[in-house]
Amino acid sequence: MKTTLLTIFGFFLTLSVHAQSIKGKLTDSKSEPLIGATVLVEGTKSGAQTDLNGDYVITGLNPGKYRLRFQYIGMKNVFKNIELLAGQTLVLNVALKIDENNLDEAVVIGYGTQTKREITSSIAKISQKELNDLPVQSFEQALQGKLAGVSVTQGSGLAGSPSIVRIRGISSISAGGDPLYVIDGIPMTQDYGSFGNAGGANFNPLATINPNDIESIEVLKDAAATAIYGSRGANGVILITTKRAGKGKTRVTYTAQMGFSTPSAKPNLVSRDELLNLMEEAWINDGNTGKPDFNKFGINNMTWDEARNNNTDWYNELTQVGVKHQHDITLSKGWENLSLYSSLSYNKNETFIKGNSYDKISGRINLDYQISKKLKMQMGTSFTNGDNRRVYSGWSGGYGLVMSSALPFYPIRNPDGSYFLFNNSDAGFRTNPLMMMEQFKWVTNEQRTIGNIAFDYDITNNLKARVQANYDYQHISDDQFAPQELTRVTGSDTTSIGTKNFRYTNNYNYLAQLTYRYKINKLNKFDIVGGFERQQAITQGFNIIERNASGFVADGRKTDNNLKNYIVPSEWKFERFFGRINFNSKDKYFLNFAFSYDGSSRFGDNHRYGFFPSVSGGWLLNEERFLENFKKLSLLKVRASYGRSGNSDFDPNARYGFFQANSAISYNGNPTLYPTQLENPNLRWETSWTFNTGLDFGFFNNKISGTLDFYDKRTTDVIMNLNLDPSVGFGNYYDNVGAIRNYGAEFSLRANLIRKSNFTWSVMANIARNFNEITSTGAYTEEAVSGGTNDTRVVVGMPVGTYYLVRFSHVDPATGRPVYLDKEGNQTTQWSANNRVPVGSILPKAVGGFTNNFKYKNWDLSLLFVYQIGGNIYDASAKRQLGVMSFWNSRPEIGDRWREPGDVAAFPRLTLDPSTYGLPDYWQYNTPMWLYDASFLRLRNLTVGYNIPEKWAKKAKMSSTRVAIICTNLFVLTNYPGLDPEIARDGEGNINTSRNMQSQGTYYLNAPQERTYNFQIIATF
Amino acid sequence: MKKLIHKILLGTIGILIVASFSACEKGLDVQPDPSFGLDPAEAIQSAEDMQKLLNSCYDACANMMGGQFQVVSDLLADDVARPLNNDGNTTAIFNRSVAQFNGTTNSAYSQPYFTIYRVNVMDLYYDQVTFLAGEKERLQGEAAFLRALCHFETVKLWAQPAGFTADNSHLGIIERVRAKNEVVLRTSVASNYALIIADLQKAISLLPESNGVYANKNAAKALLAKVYFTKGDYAAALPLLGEVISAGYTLSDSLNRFNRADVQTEIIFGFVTTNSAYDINARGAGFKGAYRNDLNLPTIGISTELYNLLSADTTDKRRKFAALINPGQANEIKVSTKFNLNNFATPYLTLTDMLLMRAEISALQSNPGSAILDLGPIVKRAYGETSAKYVSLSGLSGQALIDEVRLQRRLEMHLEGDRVTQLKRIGAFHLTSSTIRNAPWNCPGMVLQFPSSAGTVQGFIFNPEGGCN
Repeated sequence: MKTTLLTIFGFFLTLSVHAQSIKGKLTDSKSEPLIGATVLVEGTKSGAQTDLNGDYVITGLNPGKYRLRFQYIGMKNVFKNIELLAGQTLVLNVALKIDENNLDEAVVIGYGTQTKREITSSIAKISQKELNDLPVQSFEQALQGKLAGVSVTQGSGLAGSPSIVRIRGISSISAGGDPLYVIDGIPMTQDYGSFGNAGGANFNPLATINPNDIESIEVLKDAAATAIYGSRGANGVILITTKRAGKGKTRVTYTAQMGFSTPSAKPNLVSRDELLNLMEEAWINDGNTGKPDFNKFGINNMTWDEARNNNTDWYNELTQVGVKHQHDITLSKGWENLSLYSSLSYNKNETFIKGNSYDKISGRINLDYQISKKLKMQMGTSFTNGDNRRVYSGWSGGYGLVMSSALPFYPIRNPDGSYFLFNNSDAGFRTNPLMMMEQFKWVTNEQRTIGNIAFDYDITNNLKARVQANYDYQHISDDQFAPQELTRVTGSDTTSIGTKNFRYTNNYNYLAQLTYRYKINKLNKFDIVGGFERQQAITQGFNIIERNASGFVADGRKTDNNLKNYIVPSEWKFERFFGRINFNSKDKYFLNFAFSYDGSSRFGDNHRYGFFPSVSGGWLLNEERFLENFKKLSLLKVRASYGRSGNSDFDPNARYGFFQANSAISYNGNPTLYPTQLENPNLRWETSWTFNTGLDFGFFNNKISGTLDFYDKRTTDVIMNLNLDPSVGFGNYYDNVGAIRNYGAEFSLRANLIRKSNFTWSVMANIARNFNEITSTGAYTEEAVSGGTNDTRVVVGMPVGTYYLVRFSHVDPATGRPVYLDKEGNQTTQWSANNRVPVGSILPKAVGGFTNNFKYKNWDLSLLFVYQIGGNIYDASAKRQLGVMSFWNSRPEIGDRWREPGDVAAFPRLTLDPSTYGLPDYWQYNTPMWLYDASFLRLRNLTVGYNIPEKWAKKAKMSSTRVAIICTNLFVLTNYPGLDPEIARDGEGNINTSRNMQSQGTYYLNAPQERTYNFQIIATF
Repeated sequence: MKKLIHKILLGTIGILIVASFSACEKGLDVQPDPSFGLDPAEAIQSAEDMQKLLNSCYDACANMMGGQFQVVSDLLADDVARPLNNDGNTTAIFNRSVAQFNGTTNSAYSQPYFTIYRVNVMDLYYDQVTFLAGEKERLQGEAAFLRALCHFETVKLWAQPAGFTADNSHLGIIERVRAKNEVVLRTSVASNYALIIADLQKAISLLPESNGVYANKNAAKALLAKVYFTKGDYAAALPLLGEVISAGYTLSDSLNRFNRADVQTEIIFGFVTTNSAYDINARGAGFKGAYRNDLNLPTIGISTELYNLLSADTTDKRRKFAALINPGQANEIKVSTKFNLNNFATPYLTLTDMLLMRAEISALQSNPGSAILDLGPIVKRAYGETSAKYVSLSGLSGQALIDEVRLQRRLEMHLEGDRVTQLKRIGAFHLTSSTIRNAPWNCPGMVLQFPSSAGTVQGFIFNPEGGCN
């Protein structure tokens, strides 16, 4: 009987279970279905996930009152209280809104993800939308001004010019200062110095990544975040995650962009007649009479009388309005077990310098395949082919000559049609830049493919394994051709010459990783990650020089071993064990331990492995009872971390000593053997210990939110490529010397000031103040490392890249001669290097940016300002333009000069003789006269956009369409009188002794950034 | 199929985990490509390797003395004119205003220390290598000779001369006696000369009498004599000069000791040039780059004073060296044709030099007979036996004789880098008021400044600058 009753009860119960249900659709604010969103019935085990159409169904509920939670990553949770009646099918459609500061948003960290809530370290994230709001040649340019503590100094207007990216200042001297770039788990090889600084520019390996393929970028700033990257994390880590398709219908997006490039500034030089007057004045000042002898100015191809026959505007001859256009098409599609993201991009990018352009085509395929319930495969591959048509610039000629030795009274051509040859006394300034531009052919082709495949296997519900193999192949082919007419002039040869420089880098790595998630109880849980990674990279290549060539070296010639001159391969290996434990208690207390145990072939035998630990913790205060009454406070989290990271980015062969056996270098016909490099078996990574404490806050339901961080990073064993005392017998030597401290604060704020249905205004702003100080140079003096144009030194108590110059006092009104100060501050008319003192720094005091976004109905307006406060620019070209008169052009400031006794002037009397200025020669006129405040405020980006109403778009079978006008670098406010206060000069990469002291801030004839005007259309189907 | 993939995956994970545990230091070894060079631990294995290392010392020394040092020396003195190419570095030397960033002098300063380091490296291997009888001593002797030569040439340019202070306690140069990257500061000129003399005495004791084109016992004696002469220790120089002069060398008939095409019999030690492409380019490159004027314009011409001296006496065969480019025009350039050569020799120690040294000492010591005996053959070769100059030589004595010896030295050895050394020696020991091209012989700018990189180590003291104009 009992069994019968139970059966009947069960039957009715079953009836009642199936008799009522809840169903509906989850969409975003644009009514797009949300796939994979969750609907939970609180207090029960019931719930559902939305399908490909955003639909859900919940069954199995008894009639009654329930509270439903609708949630989706990145969206605000929505709660609904319902009463479900017996037999009722309740339809509940819900639209979720974007959460401005969603604590459950996933953040990519090294070897995994965490929710924003769980993060205990300093990590900044930038999403795809913020990344692609302005046209850039390379993605790192788009980071400028958007992330606190991430300083991006834009390169020049040359095509393919790299930026300088620094995170929380500079803690290295001769090791790389760049962060580690990791794309989809692949640590990238990235060497700006692949081809030195040929043509006055470096190469930018990051330009091979299509910004449109990037889903998000996470910047790991403190040691707790970077320690897991061990000996490579000290400069910060930039994690790039490319787009992947979710489940859902096919989505095709086409983006087209067309625009124009002009220079952001034009050189301000004196006219022909003004220049001739200046030359004549110098001639007379020196006691000469009669017409000036141009030979005494170093001008050997023209007489004074001939000068007034010509008036050439070299600037106009070498510049143009560059045309740009870019086309991107992406396709994403998700099936039940498979999803596909693919893209194809074409970019044609002319600059404002004639003959200079960068054309690029790239593609990507990312595939996700759920092989079984437990096994998932992820695969991604990209390919880029870039052709950079290059020109000489800066110190090497071309545009640089416009501001130096291409004088307005030089004609472009002789009457017979041949090019006019400058024949200035200094060989570096002889080539007619138009002749060079028209006759010299130069293309650098880069091909790069980055691919990875990963398998994730759920061994148990809590234990997961991942194996991943990655491959990054980079191939650079640099072709140059100089016809005979040109080589005769440049003086290096008498035949036409074709050269090919070919480099390729194979970079492999693989990874095995286990992740274990353990829930101690309802409130406490932890994750453990552990793994092993190994990486190996080798760069090889060759050079070909072909005389009597008719053009570029033909591809077929690459197989001719008689022509090939192989470069010395460069190889390094790296392996590491890493681990991390995250402890989460009550979703408001968080503790994190991480480590990396690194080994590298770069390190000397005595220091092959290093250990890099970190600890960090976080406390979500706003979820505590004692803050319950602070209703306006929607987020308050405190964080603190301490850890160790390293920097091992230096010449992999630096630790070795070498002898060279050379039969070509002989004495009396007998072979020689001699030492060429000093060994240093103790060479090891730089070590940084960083303390970080931070605060994440939000008010008014996160309408205003922000982050404040303080850090103190102390770096020891700083690698310096030391200038040795020449009496040692060698020029340079790598050693771990000295210490650097960086400390400072970062603040970022995000505010939705107005949020009406038709009008919104949001502001994002950030500022980072960094204090940098060299605290030790060991047993060495400030001369240990030189940088800039030989103007910066390593001075204890001063920042990295301190300008070290002889102070200028005034112009003597009686004689017109410059008066300098010696070390003690006494006046002297003799310039001496012995009197150099620290006078400024390449490093700014603070950097940051602010963005204003306005939306009115379908219109939007975005303004991004970037700024720098403090720091100095040393204009090394000014000492020639405003110094001893020679075969260089001059600038209008020279008007404020001494002309006769009694004159109080900024610049001394004009002269041809360096000794009049107390100088050994005119190159050494290094004084703070040419040092300028580098502060600036730049309107980096202005975008006016219009989203075509959906109904119109749908008529055209599009789901959305947007058109926009985007302008970059419209203006800059600065006291710097030169072209552009943002200076990322070329450098020699690993070759130079001072990788981090030379680029930023030191100016020498560089081209300014470009100003662009673009029209953009984005159509989604 | 799925099971197969599972198995493959699990196998891969297993292999990787095992691989990770097998990771070891050996796995991280990357041997640099052989083109980088040899491992120092394996580079020197035999006496033959030691000889090669010594060859490289000669090569480095030949580069330094192939005009680089001589041109820098002469730019300080009065035999050359202001550089024609407006080059800032060489003009600064000419102006006696060399600062820490002078590319020409900085490059020169590093040259001798290449040789010195290599000589010191040799010291590390003498006990590790098996030599034939006498071979080790020869190598040690040659190495000591070259180290002394390098220190000597350096102290002459980067320090005030011996005699600047009574006890030579003024700052000299850095002495390097060990192949080690260690901090060594400048010592006194007295200490520098003591090291140079000790090295040369060691060389004399170890070197063979005859050693082909390499340094032999006479070369070491000749250099030691020159060192003593330069430091004003004429008494010590005399016996050595006597030994070398009587060693069998004869004056060459040729007036140009740099012309390898002529028969050269008076070179006691010089740097060898062969017909190899390397030698043709490298040897004498400094001389040719500065002074050669038969193919292109030179970068440095000679002073009017030297031009007049060379061309003053119509019987002087050396007047062939004085020439004019664009004669009579505004852009006239006075040049010496001494280095208009394809076939270049680089003499360093010659019989002419020895005779002139002994002649001057004799003249200074009021021994005109001996002085004229040594000077006579040189004058005879230049002017001829019947020339008025040669005939009147016997009547000279006192200061006139001293002046004549010094004049003949200037003419014989013009543009060989000797002039400034002699003028400083004369200023230090004989005529303290003397000047060099209107500047006091001991003004700070007459001494070259060290490169800024020399100040890399704590405690290094730079030379004072300027004061010559």
